[in-house]
Amino acid sequence: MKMFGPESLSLYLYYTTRILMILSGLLFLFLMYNLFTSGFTIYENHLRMELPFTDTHLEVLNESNVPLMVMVSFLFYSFFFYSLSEVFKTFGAHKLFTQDVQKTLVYFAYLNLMVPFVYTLAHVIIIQDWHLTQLPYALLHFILGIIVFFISALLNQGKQLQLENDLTI
Amino acid sequence: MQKFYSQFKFLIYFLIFVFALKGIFLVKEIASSIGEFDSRILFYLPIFKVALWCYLIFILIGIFKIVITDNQLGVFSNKKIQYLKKISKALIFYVILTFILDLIENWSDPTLFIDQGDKDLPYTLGYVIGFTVGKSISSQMPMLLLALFFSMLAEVANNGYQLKKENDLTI
Repeated sequence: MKMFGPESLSLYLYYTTRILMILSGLLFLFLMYNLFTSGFTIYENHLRMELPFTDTHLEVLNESNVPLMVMVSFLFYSFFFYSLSEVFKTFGAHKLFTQDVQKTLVYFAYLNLMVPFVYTLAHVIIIQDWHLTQLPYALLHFILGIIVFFISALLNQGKQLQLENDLTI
Repeated sequence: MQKFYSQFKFLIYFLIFVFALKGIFLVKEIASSIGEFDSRILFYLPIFKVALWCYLIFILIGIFKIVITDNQLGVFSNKKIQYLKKISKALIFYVILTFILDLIENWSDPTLFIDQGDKDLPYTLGYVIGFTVGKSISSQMPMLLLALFFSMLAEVANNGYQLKKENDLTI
């Protein structure tokens, strides 16, 4: 299967990431609504929230601002998936080496490079604890950011080649 | 671009160092827990994990090779595309193997099958399958995303290589 262009893998990944963005956004709104309206019950040191239209519930640890940290993570991931879906959207265009693709990739790279610093800051400020248990995942975001920067650098070189090619023709 | 590559080289050095260090701790952990396992599978599992960890370091060295070939062969080269493709495939292979190991480890968790008494969580076989598969998949998602981006990197490099060939032929 083709990776770029119309009717390619990028198109399916675009739809998948958009759905994930909506789900993260909805979970963020759901948590925020329940926390501010006290729409939860306390069950063994957990906040339990009934998920509407399903027979299941969501449980969040009720300790030192953990619910707030979970809420911030859902908000971040809705931004993350939005940015990723924009990348796949531009990859689905006819031409690969364009300014649009490079711009969305650079935004996505910056978003990922920020993660370890934002996570450390948020953890220290919100939870007030230095046990950064999720730091390996935050570092994976950092590595992803570097790879995306690599792709954008390659696209920049490709753009120049494309321009040169068009001028020669 | 050249400056960017040299900075990237340092990151790879750092990652190889961190992963090697983690591997040593993993070996130490196994050595201290010998004799504690009551099942043969759980005894062999950490050994496979160390082997996979070595495989990941091997992949990182592969990425390092790309950085070197980039300095020697230029940005768009066939050798580099082959390397990138190999690395994305190796990462996918790593994800699959780790998923299988995680699945065995999570399934072997004895607390999953203990009768939970009056707790309302459905500790049935369906729940256990869903829980173990979900837990094993979720831990592999970041690595899978990395593999996807590596294959994208390979594809972009391939498109650039075709364009460069076309350009050279036109001149």
